[in-house]
Amino acid sequence: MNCSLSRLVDLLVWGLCAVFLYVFTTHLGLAATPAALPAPSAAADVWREECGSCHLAFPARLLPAAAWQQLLTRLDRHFGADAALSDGRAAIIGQYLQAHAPSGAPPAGSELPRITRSAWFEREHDEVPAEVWRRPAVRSRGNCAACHAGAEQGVFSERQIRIPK
Amino acid sequence: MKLLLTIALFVGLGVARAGTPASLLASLEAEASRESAAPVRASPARGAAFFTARRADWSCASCHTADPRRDGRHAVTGKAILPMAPAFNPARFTERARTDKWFRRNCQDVLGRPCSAAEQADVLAYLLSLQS
Repeated sequence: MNCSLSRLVDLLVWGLCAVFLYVFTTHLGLAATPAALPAPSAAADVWREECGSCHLAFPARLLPAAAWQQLLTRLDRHFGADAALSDGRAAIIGQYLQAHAPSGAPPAGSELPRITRSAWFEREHDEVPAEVWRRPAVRSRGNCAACHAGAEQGVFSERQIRIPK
Repeated sequence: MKLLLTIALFVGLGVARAGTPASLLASLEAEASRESAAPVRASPARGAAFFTARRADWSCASCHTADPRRDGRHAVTGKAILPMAPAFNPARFTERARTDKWFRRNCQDVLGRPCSAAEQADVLAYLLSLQS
């Protein structure tokens, strides 16, 4: 390969790197302002993968930022399970959740803040009979997707509720 | 040109990180052999017993079912878990970092301690033995 062709290839590769870097940083949300529903980003992918393995990847808006921080600092003792992360992934998730969570005080009443102990959660579910929570298809108050068909997409509207038998 | 070679090297490293369950089994056996200073061969039978043995509250089977060819279900949250046997879920045990993460956490939950390389090798040999 002659010298000028080699230089051309280098130039092309540098150009591609620049485009990649631009797309990567803008998608990380470094330039974007937080929206109600976050755009897909590298951080959102980490959040969805790590927080969505054992349970629904609960959207950031379901707990205040301070509560997420409490949860993320004790991932090794996460509601009776070891959910510890390595390689700085907890920090990536923390930044993502902080950017999209509301402010306010974490729900009280348990050692770790629980979404299901939030005042809004109690209010929204006060018509659900105790027996429904115990059904095998529901099992846990954190099993949002049992009744909320759009839970995986972060949609909890009344229209998409189907209570399993 | 050097830059192109550097990028090719990084892509190569990325590909090298993806493995197969068989290569993971071989490296776990090698680790176990080093730990015990004697050759260790993984045993599917020991792995099967380990998989279903209940310690304090849980066994591996509590979430992954006693038949790892099938879908499991998280014992607390009820979330579906895909099969563990590679013949029924080819994505299993192809990424060392992912495998290490789940062994680290789940052994802590079930046993209250990390699993040894020999225990991990037995479990993997058992899961690989499940073919149909």
